[in-house]
Amino acid sequence: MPMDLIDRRLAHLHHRRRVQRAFDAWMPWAALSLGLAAVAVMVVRLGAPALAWAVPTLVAAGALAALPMAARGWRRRDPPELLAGHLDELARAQGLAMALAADDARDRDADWAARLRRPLETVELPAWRWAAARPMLVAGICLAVAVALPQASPTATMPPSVANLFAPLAARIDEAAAERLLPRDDEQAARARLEELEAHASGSGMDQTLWDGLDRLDRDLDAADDAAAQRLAAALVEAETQADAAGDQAATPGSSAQMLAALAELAAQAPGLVPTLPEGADAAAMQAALAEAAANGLLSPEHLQALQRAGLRGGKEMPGGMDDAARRALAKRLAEQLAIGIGKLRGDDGGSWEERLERERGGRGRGRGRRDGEPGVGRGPGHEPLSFEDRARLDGGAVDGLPPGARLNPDGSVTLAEQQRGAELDEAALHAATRAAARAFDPGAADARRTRVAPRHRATIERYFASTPSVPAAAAATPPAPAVPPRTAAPTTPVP
Amino acid sequence: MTTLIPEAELERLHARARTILDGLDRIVLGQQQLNRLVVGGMLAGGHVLLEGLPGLGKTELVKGLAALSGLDYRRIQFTPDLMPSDITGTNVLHETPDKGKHLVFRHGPIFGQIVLADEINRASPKTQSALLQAMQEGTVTVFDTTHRLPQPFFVLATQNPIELDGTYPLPEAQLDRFAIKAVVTGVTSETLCRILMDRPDGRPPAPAAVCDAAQMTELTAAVRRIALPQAVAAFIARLVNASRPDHADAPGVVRSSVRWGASPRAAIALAGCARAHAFLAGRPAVGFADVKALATPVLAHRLVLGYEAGLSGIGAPQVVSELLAQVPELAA
Repeated sequence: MPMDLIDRRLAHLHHRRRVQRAFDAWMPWAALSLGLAAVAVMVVRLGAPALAWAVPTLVAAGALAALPMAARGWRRRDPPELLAGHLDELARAQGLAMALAADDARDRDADWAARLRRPLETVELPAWRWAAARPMLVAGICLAVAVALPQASPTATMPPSVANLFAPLAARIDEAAAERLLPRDDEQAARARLEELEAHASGSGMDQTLWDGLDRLDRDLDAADDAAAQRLAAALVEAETQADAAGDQAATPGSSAQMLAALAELAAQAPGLVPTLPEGADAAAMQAALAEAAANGLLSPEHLQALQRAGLRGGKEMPGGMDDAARRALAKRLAEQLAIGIGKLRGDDGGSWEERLERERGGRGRGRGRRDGEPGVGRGPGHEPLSFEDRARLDGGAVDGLPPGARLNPDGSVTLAEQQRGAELDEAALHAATRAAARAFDPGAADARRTRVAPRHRATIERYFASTPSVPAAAAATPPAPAVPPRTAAPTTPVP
Repeated sequence: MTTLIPEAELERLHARARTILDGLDRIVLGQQQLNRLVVGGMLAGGHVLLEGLPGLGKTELVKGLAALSGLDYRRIQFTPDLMPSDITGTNVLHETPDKGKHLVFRHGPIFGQIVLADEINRASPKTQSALLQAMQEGTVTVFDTTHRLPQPFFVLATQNPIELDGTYPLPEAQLDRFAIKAVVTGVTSETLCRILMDRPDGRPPAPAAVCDAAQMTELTAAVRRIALPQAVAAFIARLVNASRPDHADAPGVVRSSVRWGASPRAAIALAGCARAHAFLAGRPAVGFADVKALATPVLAHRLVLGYEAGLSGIGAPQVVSELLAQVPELAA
């Protein structure tokens, strides 16, 4: 059947009216369904966190529930005479459009149709009616607000006795994160674990699983504290070792890079210990050591970042290489920083850090200085022995035979028996020391550190080194820095 | 299938109708709307009741229309003693040349093409009822013989709304025969001044016929060819049905004020008059506006109002206006 302008306009009008009818049928029901969904989501958000999983379903149901009504409106069709009547009204045809539309296109009077062409060409379809959309929009906004509401925490429904178990752990994680005791990934894992445990507690209350989980998390945090303390101790001892080696005349030229690597590790583990590295007469030596260490691949990105935070960046080689004097100056600087750090640790945490450092020193088997259990007289851990014996002579000879169950260790010692038992450590003291140490190394707490720690150590160092005969020239020329012992004393070991 | 009257033919016939209208406008000054109503009612094949005060030109309008249309004009002055046979005619004894005697039918004044029933409400209901068959069927039955009236046949009646003493209001059945009841109102001062200046003797100019009976028949036939779209017909049907207080779609004012609504004859009359209205506008199809324009003249006099309407001060035209406001042109 051929279509003329009337048929096309009728088709357009038909489509417009069907769409409008679909909207008219859909919008009130959509407003209702969205409103109900908003109420339901709000109830879940505020008072039923156990049903939080149902929120997406509720939103989808609210949005889609009214669609069948739209389809129902769409299916309804206008009778042809009604459509023609509407078109006649729109075109102001005063009945002519209706009369022409009643016939097939080929049977229509061409003259009358021509008269109607212009009104039909300029006819405007009825405007969209959106009055019913307002309640729907309001309901939609309510639903969006309900979805955006923060989900009520399951702990809100927990009894206070159970909820109180989580607060200390959360505070501990926060504290560990602030003090950089926990790597970023471990921190996130700990928080996620804590949230899981809270969700479990809100749903199941206190049970064995929750106890185990809390205990495990607590132990993980303990381990993190311990690992952080261990890392710091290792960094301190490594720095101490490198400083000792640099002070030795027999140190190799490459030891400056090792020294800076140790310094970088120290800076990474305790940022507050090395506040202004490039200052002083050994700045050039530090730059050279940085260049050398970077060239040898001894510095990780974390080390470089730590050194940058400490003010050391852009290493450059010294003309003619680093000589012994520069190396000693660098070692002196490192020793000074080390003394500050260890002194602070002692001041904050009593003797527990001394034990840890001693264990670390013993574990490393430092070649210089006196080891525990070695013969001779010493002035303290890390010092050159005041008396020296021939080690080969004191080794004790070979072992001819071992009793059952005993074994010969690579270092020549004999293990007669092993017994596994828990370490008898004062865990609370260790944790406190770790946290105090981390707080002390915080660059933001430099003032407090200066007033709290420095005077005590200055007096101790002055007392200890009052009779030291030789003072390095570079140290004497270096102006004293805040929170650093006097330059007249150049300890290479922690102050006893 | 709707076959529209060809444009050229419509223009030719419309021009003829325009000639009648223009001539009538020259006779009855300042009453263009009334003239179109009357001519429209006549072209629709209906009868017209003119109601108005004396001296407003009702009779002159009918006489002028009769003269312009070239139809056979008869006038019946309705009086209280007027008898039905005075209208229809009766058998009279006729003596033949051979002295034989037999009854022959003597045609009454109803046997015209335009019949003016002047002051129709002054005759008794019995006499008024003599018009019922003629107006509806175009025939008159006297004794056992049915006589066909000449075609076209139009009754144009007048009545005076005042001086009701000694008058007989038209019964509903009689009123329903009139397609249109037109209320004649006064004219403006300018029109009255023009009448005074142009017509020293007070009489309108005598018009010449612009067409004849055959041409008038052609015009009425053309009006019947004006298309009535289905949606418009549905609108008329809903409008008429809504005037009945017992109908589900009747608005409140109809339920409270109307005792009897319009009949199917009213719907037919409304459709016919709407066709004539569209024809006089030069259009080949009826629109909703045509129906609205004719609704009050066609429907108002057919509504029988209850006493509640009188208490409320509601008249039939107000009821029709309310109907037009309440009934949508297009069903949802």
